[in-house]
Order: sequence, then structure tokens, then C-alpha cells
Amino acid sequence: MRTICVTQDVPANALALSPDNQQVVIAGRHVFKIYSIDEDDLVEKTNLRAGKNLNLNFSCNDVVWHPVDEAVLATAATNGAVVTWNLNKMSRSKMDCVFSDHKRTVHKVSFHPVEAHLLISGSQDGFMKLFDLRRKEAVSTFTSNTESVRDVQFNPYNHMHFCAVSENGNVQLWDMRRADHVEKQFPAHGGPIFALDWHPDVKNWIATAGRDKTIKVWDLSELPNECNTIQTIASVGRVKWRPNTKYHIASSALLWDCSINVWDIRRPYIPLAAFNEHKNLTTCIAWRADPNSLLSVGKDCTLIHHAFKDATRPVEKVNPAGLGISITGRILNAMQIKEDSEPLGTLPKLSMFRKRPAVNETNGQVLSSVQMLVCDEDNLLSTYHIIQSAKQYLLTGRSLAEICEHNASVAKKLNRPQVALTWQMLQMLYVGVGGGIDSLVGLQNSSRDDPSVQPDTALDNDQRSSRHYSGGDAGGDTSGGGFSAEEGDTETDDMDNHDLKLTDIASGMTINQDFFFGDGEINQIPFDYDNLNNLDMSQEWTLPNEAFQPRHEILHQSAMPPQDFASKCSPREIQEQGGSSGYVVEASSLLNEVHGAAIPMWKCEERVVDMLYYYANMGDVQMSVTCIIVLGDRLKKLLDEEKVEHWFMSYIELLQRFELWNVANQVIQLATNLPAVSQQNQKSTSVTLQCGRCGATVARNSLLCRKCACATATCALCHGMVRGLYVWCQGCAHGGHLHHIVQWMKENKFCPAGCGHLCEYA
Amino acid sequence: MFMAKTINTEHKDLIHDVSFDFYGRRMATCSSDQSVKVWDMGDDGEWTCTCSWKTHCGSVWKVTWAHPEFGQILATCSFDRTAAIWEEIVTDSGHGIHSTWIKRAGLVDSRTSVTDVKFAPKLQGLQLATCSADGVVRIYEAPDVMNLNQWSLQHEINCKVPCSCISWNPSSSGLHSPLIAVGSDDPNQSSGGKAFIYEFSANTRKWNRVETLINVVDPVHDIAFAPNLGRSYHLLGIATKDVRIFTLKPIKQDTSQNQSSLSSFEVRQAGRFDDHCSAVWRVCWNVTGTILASSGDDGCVRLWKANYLDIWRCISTFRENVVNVADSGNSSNTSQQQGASSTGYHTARYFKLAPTAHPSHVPWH
Repeated sequence: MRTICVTQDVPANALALSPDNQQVVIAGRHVFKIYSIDEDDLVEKTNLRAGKNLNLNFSCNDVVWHPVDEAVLATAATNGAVVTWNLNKMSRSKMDCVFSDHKRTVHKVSFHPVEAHLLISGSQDGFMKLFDLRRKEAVSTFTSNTESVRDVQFNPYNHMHFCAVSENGNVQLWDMRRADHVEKQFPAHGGPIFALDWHPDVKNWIATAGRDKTIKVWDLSELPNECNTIQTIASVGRVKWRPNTKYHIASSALLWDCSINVWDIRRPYIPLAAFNEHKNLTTCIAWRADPNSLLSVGKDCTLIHHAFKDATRPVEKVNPAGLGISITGRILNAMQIKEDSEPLGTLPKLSMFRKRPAVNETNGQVLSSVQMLVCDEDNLLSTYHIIQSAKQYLLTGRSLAEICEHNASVAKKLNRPQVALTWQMLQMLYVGVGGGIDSLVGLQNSSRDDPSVQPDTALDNDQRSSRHYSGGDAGGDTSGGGFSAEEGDTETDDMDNHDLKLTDIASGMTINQDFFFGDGEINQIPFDYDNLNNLDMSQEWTLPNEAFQPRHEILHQSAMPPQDFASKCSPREIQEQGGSSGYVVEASSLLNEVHGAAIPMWKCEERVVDMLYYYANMGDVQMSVTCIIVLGDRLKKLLDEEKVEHWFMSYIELLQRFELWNVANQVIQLATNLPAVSQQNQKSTSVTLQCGRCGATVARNSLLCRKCACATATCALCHGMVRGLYVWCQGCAHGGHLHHIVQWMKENKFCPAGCGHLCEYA
Repeated sequence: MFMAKTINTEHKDLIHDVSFDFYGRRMATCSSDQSVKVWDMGDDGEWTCTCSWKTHCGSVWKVTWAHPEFGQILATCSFDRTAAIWEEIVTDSGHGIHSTWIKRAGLVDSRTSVTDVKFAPKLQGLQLATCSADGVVRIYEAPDVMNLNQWSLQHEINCKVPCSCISWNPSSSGLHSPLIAVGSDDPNQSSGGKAFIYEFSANTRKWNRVETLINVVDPVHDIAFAPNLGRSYHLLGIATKDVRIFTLKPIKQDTSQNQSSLSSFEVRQAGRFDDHCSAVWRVCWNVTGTILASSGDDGCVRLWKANYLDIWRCISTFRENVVNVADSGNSSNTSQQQGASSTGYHTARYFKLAPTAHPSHVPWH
């Protein structure tokens, strides 16, 4: 079986299947034809729209085939006539009998399922009429007391009863024998009901559908009970239960949705299947007593025989998962709950088998489970380090050496050795190269001037000196590691232990630094790389020769081999070879030495710029921006201003996301060279004031309102004019002196002005 | 270590999207049950549903937050062929603060299911991109950010293939002109690349296709630009039958030429992973754009990260543990218990982190 489509010239309004399901009749305003349904074709057999005078009786709203006699058809005409047709008639016109009882258009005709000579009609005039084909007249009239009856159908399990739906949204249950009153009546939809269908298998279930875009399933056994509601996207024109299934129902829309949807009423949100062949609205649908075969006609003038296997399956196409990562590193994962639970690493073959949990077997509901994965502070996804770094980093206000050192220790505490190392290198490069004496002086000054710094540094020094000794031991132990790093870094790029090396180096670095900082000789460290080598030699430490620069080389894969540096150092090494058993003793003399010569012979700026780009590309824009701020003008010429602006903007946005407004503002302030950035906190800074009494705008800096000529800002408590800080509730616009309001709000909730407003001061 | 908490959302059908707001304090979930729920994080880290309302007449596919500068605004898109803009109104009735979400606008231009909706980066104002199953990407703009009722359709881009997902390039730099990545779930492999990059040209005021990722031929389920944060290149994550990671490096052009011609990119596939062994449904970046999370049909979430040589690796895998799956299978009786405890969580379970292949692959942070 396959999907077949035939096109006519004019659209049809309705279709009906013959009792044996081998023929289909389509009927419309200008069409009335019978097709036979073949295996892979639809063949036109009879055109009933024939005869001399094609009057309005040929213009059909609905058509129905006699349930027993294949030769008899009935149609509902737009002019209000109910017409029966006999195909066995010898004349050209097969019209048999015309009942003109209805005053207005007839929407629906329906045969009695057992007593097949009975035919019922529902009309726009609000009446339903039962016709007896033997007597050729209307035997009874049912008054719905509504404007219009849209659909009427006999109960397949109780032949005396039928159900009617009307435009006022009511469902009516009638007993055929009692035309005088309604058996049951209940409101079902908030708007006209256009269609109804009795369930073919389940007793007393009906489905109704209406303009309120819903399909409702009712159990009429006792009190009408709404079992399911399907919310569709458009007014529903037709519904038909799918044969041999309990929960499936097909629907077609009256407006703007051209497809036919098949729903599982237990999963009322996504269609189980959809037939999208129609190019225009579908006007009528009918199942061919087979759950896999559906016929439909549409306004696109086509009659289509749909094969269920050709339908699209929206249910299977939907995205069953949701995933989100919050800025703090929480992962939110929503996914479909699956019935099976196979272990991790299932073969793809198996996953094909379990692709869809069969909806039929379960209770039909498909649900998602939602999980929030919350990570620890040291997790990769955690942004704890960004927040803490942002809060703790020093950006300005101290000497470069001190800032670098502080920031290095912040990074170290946050377990970010590479960043810590970078800060230390910056310290060495810049303080060592350019501002040695400046920073020395600056540092002394700052420590003198700023007493608050004092205890802090003292504490740090204590810690350092204590670490000095432990570090010494550790240095001996880890020497092997340090050495291997030295060997490895230039020759191999084995990534697997490269990172390990980095951390090794970093830890080695830490130890060194502690040594130098050991006895409060902070000022001298920057100059001491030569001394380090010395020291190492004499104490038989195998800390790597290139303890400082090559870090840099490794990170940025610069061309400068570590050997160069070592060779530069070597003369001094020899010189100092003799007497470096205690570096503290040596310190002052070393200081002099270094002042003379220990300026790196290469342009470190370029490397530093490379480093900034490296960090930015690694997603650590914080590092790049902080470095630029800290280094100030030193890098100015080498940086691309647009790039830097981009970094700043990105970092500021990041800070704002973390709600670190103060830091963000500090960064904006410090971006003095970047007008686009520094203008950020000059935008939308004006506040317009309006007079609380008359609402007129108050002129700039004025305390008086011109219109009502009195003070605008009076305190609600002391009634004096407020100069300076004025707080007011944004809800009721009353306010006053800050301290008065604070005092008042401590004890009261309501507005001090007595307006009864529950004031809120954020 | 990750700690997993199950949140009982009480959605009545599949959840199709979850979305955190700018500050990570609120989230929104949308489901086929046509409703959207907004969740707020309390001071104790617990999430409570503060509002749940019916948004559409069909499955709600996506939900997304606008930048908070514009207010508390959500956009949703649905099977019912519309997208909608929602604004939160907070009222204090004296018994506590109530939040209600009011529909400010319905965007009804699509003639088929609207499959994705995303707000543009803040710098571009209050703009919204939608894409639909008939292959049209629409860009809307609220000319007056104070009036959310008015949205004008600025651009219509016809992609000619059914679109399933869309992503703005979040770069806030003037260096990059606005970019949109569009993914298509067209199952026809022979129709070529399924992911496209569109660029907005400020001169012609038009969106032009600048790139097609031709080696993505399978249906694309999700596409996501990484937060740029000052990178010199763009990162794009794609969920198709596997996880793909692309880098798009803008090729420098003369500023004089730049006026007329489109910018071009050096596109490189940085990673392609079929660890999920099944369709990958979603991809999502962390805030710094260093880690990509992917969710697949195998029920796993995997995290991907590049090492310093820019080689992407899986760094961890999560899966609902087996007990949990079995438990949730008979959801009919558990859901009643869950219903009784109307608060968000009902249990806390601990996840085993699948061992990372080599801890050293993860150099820092």
C-alpha cells in the first residue's frame, strides 16, 4: 500500500466509504464522484453530478453511504435539502428522493447503524430530523434550542441514542424515541463544536472538537467525564478514531494547518503521526476500517489515500533533551526517561533496538527527568577562581613588583600554578628590567606610608620563612623532577607529561621564590637569577638552570633556547662560584652586580604580548586584561587597540555577569587608553526629577518646582527641605533625609508620609 | 566531583529546553505540555518554581532569556507556528511576592513550526532571531526597548532547508560583524552541508551566507557559538550524529576592501567525537567558552575541553545511575509522592565521575 493522490478541478467538502470499503464517494459544491480504491490507484467510477438541471441539491456539505446497501447514498445539501441517491437507477441522474424539511443549510447526515432505513440530519436552523427512507418523510424533529447543529451521530452500542453537537459548545444526547426533550446535555467547549465521533470499540466514549482548538474525549457512561483534552494548534474541523486502536484519533483543522494529525490521547501534546500531503486545508477524513489506511479530501482539490507508514512522526523528531550550563558551572540536564537502563557504552546496534520505548505498552506518558549537576570549587567548570581572582587581584595602587607578587599568591592559593608563574615572571621581567630602583623605592615608601600593608607583609614573610626550610627539604627531594623537566622541554613535546612538568616547574619555582623572599629581602629577588644558579651549584641542588626564562619559552614555544640564557649567565656563575653558601649574606653584593648587567638581552615585551594573546585565546581574558592594566603603558605600542578593547569589553561583561560591579567599574576606570571602554560608565548617568506634587519636570539643580513654587524634596519626617542625600520610595515617591528614613524604617513598614504604602527601600 | 540533584519539574511531557538567565540565578524550562516554568535559586541553592504557565497551543521547543538590561524577558517558540515574548510582572500582594508572566507579543509570521528562538547579544539592541521548519530565519527587533508589544520583522533569510537551531555569535566586539549560525535537521544527506553561517553586512544592511560547513551532512540538532571573551577566533559546537567542534578564524582583510566584500573565515574542524554512539541532541558552552557539554541519546552528558595544543578531549562523562533509571521508570506511582512534596528536589544522588583518561590533559582551571 502506498500513498496515492488524485486531483480534480474543484474542492470537495466530504467523503464517505462504501460498506465494503472498496469505493469512496467525494462530494462538494461542484463535485460528486465515486472512486474505486485499488491497490495502488484511485479510479473514477461514476460522476453523480450529471443530469439536466444541476440545482443546489447537487451542492453537498456532507455525504454518507448506506451501511448495508451499496447502491444508496445520502447527501446534505447547502440549500437545506437532504437528498438520497440510488446508484441502481437506470436514468442518468441517480437522485432518488429530496427531503426539503430544513430551512437552512444541512451540515451533517448520518445513517442509523442497524435500522438502515433511518437517516438523521443536523442543520444550521438548529433542528435535527429523522427521516425514514421507506416513508419518504421526516418522522420526527428534535429541537436543539441552539443556533446550529454541526454534527450528529448514532451511538454504535446503543442504537436508540444519538449524540449531537452544536455551535454554542454543548453536547446533547438524545433518545431517538423521545423527540420532546434532551436526555443529557452538557457544555463541552468554549466555542462552537464542529465534529464528534463515537469510539468504535470503547462504549460511551465520544470525541468532540471545536473552534477552541481542542479535541476532548468524554466518557458518557455516567456523568459526562472529560477523559482527555488534546490541545491542537488550530480550530479542529474533523475527528475520527483510528480503527483497532484504543487511544488513537485523527484530526484535521479548519484553519491554517493543512496536515492531518493522528494523536495518542494519552500523550495529548505531540501528534503521533502527521500526514502533510495536502497543500491546502483538509476538509474531510475517513479511515478505511484499517488503522493504516486513511482517505482525505482537501481544499487543494485532491483526494488522497494515505498509507500510515508514509506519515511523518513528529514524536520521533522532537528534541528530547535540554542542556544548560550556568555561569557558576551548574549543569542542568533534562532528558527523556527511558524504560530500559543499559550500561554505559552500549553498542550502536543495541541502541537502535531500544530507540523508542513503545508508547503502546506503557501508560503513554513520556516524561523528562531533570538533573542539576553542581560542581565543587576546584572543578573544571567552576568559575570560583574567576570570581575570587577578580575580587582579590590588585590592579593598581602599589608598585608593580608588589602587585605581581600579590596576584601570584592569589593565583597560587586558587591552585593555578601557571597563572601564578606568569605573574612571577612579569615581576621579574619588568621590575628587573626597567623599574628596579623605582620599585624598590616605591615599595619602601608604600610599606612606610600604608600601615595597613605592614602586618600583612609581615605575616607573609613569616609564612615564607617557615616555608623556606620545608622548601629546602622538598627542593632536595624533587630535584630529580626538576631535572627531567629541563631535559624534556626542548627535545620532546610529549603532551602527556608536559603538563606535569609545568606543575613541577611551578612548584620548583615556588620553592625558589620562598628562598629569596625568606628574610624580608623582597626587593632583591628580581635581580637574582644569577644567584640562583650559583646557589644551586654550591648546594648541589639540581634545580633547573633556566629556572626563570625558559618557563616563558615553554609556554609560548618561543624560539629562544634555554641554553642561550644559561650561557649569558655563565660568566657570572664562574665569578660567583666561590662564596655563595649563604645567599642572604651575598644579597647586597649581588644587588650591585645585577644593577650592572642582568638585563635580559631580548625584547621581553613581544613575548609578553604573545602571552596575552595566548591567555585570551585560552578563554582566560581575565589574565590578559589584568596584565594590561597592571603593566600600564609598558605594552602600549605593541597591542592592537581594537583587540584590547574587545578584551576589556568581554571581561567587563564577564564581571557584570558575576555581579562584581565594583571590580567591573574599577576595570572601566582603569581603561584610560580606551575611550570606548572608559565611556561605559558615563552612559545613562542622568536622572530626571519630577515634582512630587504636580509632576512637572524639575529644572537641573533646582530645589524648587517652578509650577507649584515650593520645595520638591521635603522630608516626610521632619518636613524640612532635603539637601544632599535624599532617599525616596519608588512606589509612593515619599522620602526624606537618609538618616530619618533609616530610623523610621527600622520600626515601621509603612510610609512615613501616611499614604499607607508599604515602602520598599532596596 | 559533581553532585547531582534531581529536580522534579512536574512537566507532563518531554522537556525540550532549559535555559539559565544571565546571572545563573534563574532558569526556565519548556516542555511539550505547552507550559513554561521559571525557577529561582534561593540563597540555599535550592531551586523553586516561581511561575508556571501555559504559553502556546503546541509543544514549546525553546525558551531563552533576554539580557537583564531589557528587563526580565523570555522568548519561546512552539510547534503552533508562533514565537512569543513574555515579560515578568512582580506584584506584592502583601502575602508575598508573586510573579506573573505577561505575553507582550506573538510573532506569527512563520507558516510552520518555529524551531528555535534566540536573543541577539546586548550590543545589537533588543533583537530576536527565530528559525522555522520551512527554512526561514527571521530577525525581529523591538525598536523601542521600553515597548515590548512592538516587534518589527527586520529580515527574512531563506535557508531553503528545514532549520532546527540557531545561534548568535556572542562576541561583543566591534571587530566582528554580527554572525548567526543556523543548523538544519533535513535528513537528506545528499543535500550537502547542514550548518550555515550568516553575516550581517552593515553596508548593505543584509544578512548574507558566508560559510557552509560542508562536512556536516547529517541532521543538526543543536548549534552553539562559544562565548567569545576576546578570542581571535570563534568556536562553534554542533550536535549532529556526533559532536563537532569548529573554529572560525576571521581572515584579515584590507579595511578598504572590507567595505564591499564579505568577510571570510578559515574554518577548521577542531574535533569530531562519536563517543555518544548515538544522536547528540544538545551542545552547550560554559561561560568562558573553554568547555563544551554535550547530551546524547545514550543518556550521557559529556564534557569536552581542549588541551594547550588545542586538541579536544572528553574530560568527563555523567550518566544517570542505573538505580535512578529503574526508579523513574514506574513514574506513575513515584510522581504522586513527588507531587506531595511540592518543593523542587526530592532526592540527592551522587554521580560517579567517569575517570578522565589522563588527569594531565587538563592543564589548569
